[in-house]
Amino acid sequence: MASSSSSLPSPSSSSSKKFILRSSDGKHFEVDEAVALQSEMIKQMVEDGFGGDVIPLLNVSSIVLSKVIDYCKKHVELDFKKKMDGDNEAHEEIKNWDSEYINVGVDELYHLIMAANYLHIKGLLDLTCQKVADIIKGKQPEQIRKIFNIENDFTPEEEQEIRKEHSWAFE
Amino acid sequence: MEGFNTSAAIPMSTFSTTTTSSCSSGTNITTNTTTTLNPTSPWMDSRIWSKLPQRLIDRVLAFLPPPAFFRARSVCKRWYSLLFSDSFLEMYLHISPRCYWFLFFKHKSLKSYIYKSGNSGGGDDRDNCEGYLFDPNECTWYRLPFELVPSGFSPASSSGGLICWVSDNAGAKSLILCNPLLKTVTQLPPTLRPRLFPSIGLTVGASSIDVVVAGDDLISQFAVKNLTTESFHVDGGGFFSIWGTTCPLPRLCSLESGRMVFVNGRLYCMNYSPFSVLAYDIAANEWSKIQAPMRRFLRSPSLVECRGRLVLVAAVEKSKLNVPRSMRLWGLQGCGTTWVEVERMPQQLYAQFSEAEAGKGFDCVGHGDFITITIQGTDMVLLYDFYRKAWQWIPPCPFIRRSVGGEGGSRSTGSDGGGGGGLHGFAYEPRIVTPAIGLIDQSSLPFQSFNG
Repeated sequence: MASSSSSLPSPSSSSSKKFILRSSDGKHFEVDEAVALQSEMIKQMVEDGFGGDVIPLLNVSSIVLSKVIDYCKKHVELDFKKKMDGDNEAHEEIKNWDSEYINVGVDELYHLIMAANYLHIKGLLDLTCQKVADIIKGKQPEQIRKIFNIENDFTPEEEQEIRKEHSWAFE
Repeated sequence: MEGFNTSAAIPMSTFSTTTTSSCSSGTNITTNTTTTLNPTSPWMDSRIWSKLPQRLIDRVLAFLPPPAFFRARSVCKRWYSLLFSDSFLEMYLHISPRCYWFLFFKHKSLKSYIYKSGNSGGGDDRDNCEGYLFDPNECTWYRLPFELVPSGFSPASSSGGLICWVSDNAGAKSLILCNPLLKTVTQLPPTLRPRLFPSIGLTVGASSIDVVVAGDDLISQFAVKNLTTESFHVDGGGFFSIWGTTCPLPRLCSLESGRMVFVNGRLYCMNYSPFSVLAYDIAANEWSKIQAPMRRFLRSPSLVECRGRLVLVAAVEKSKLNVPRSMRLWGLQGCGTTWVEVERMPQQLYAQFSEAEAGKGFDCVGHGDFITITIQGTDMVLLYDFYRKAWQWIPPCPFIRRSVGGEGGSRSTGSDGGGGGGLHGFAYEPRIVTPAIGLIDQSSLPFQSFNG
């Protein structure tokens, strides 16, 4: 009986296991197990037995890592809430929180994508990619080429042909 | 410069959600917003974005809404070819956000069909050659060509990126599934029973297609009766049934709307005089009847799907008592028999709406968080957003020449000039890939292929 009550899932439970994450610039972050396991990459490491005292994250700086941890913490909390309060309410809260969270500068957005990709955090990767898509969706092809530094390998005739093929999207 | 207008809307929307939660940081965010609007802003910085690995750029492209995706195809050859890349399309199917959009056609009412075909059918069909795609998030219109759909067909239903067109001629019905973005057209074998204007239900899953054709059975050359349902099914498990499943309709039903709405394994349609709701359970092949709320006082009721739930939208006109005339929305509860009122149009707006509507009747379509209410015979469409709890008139479609009088005209001209100038809306999710159609294209079913 006693053991069953102590194992109740709770995001802020002090008794839960802790992990220490080390950023590329050598700073340590102590996080709950559930928070760390939002990262599929860390999860895999732990499953493979590499989850010792400190997990080194060679590609993520402390500034970016703390922002990533914010995301994971909040989503552990919201996932828990979703289980308790039902889908709809939590869904809206997640939507609002995410849109505020991702309101960042261009540099930070880039580093967040790279970190989400490296750490394999699907929710954060989707959120950041969606944000970039939102930035480029209203741009003309010429502007998009500039942004990504892509060379136009179409002849003017070919480009004209493609525009004609999808003329509805250019109207 | 055109392009910046659309992107300007994005930071604004995040801005509005932020202000509600914290006022103190409001000013901070405002300056942030203005810099992102600036064309020379760091958002365009190629020093940063050119470092993004190709794989992640592909992922970003999968998040573009279809019009932006098709524009991006003209960036370079590699991006152009993504539409033919299996690995990209597979990722796209997994991660692309759903677009809860709407597709409108110029209305071809049953009556106008009969009269027109008596004279010369030509004009009507040309109207159906294009559809008007509406993005409710950005309030933007696109004009989609449907030139591959032969004349003599009308749009009847839509699901999973496909539009189902049905032949106008009385008799066995021919059906065509069309993805207008990919310009694909697939014909189903004709139904077995002769019908006039049956109701059509379509639901397209990841690896299944169900089409249900109900009612308007021709019992003689000049008479119809609502007697039967025919179903078409094909799925990835190799199971198929070509109109093999039939089911009698409930006695004395009247399916005037011609529409069916799919929610959770069932197709629903409105039954008239007196009002009730008919539900067809696809797996069980069985009809049942659900009582409609306030059924004696409804006018112009429509069934719509919204957030995975069936919603009934109707004007309530109860002259007695102190119940105000209004537009009400009821959601069908989980038990499947009771309705709960979920929303009511604000009184002031309803006054404005009913003045414009003036008894013409209206049609409703729901998709995701949105419901559109189209006044019959006009191009006036009201949009309700369940998420923001906001009503608004949507901007008129710029691709439709407005008949007489301009602005106020559509309101006062009232009756259509013979052609029924109204719009006919569908819940439509534009998709750059519709794999389920392969079940029909590749299957060894005894289909004759369509040579358009």
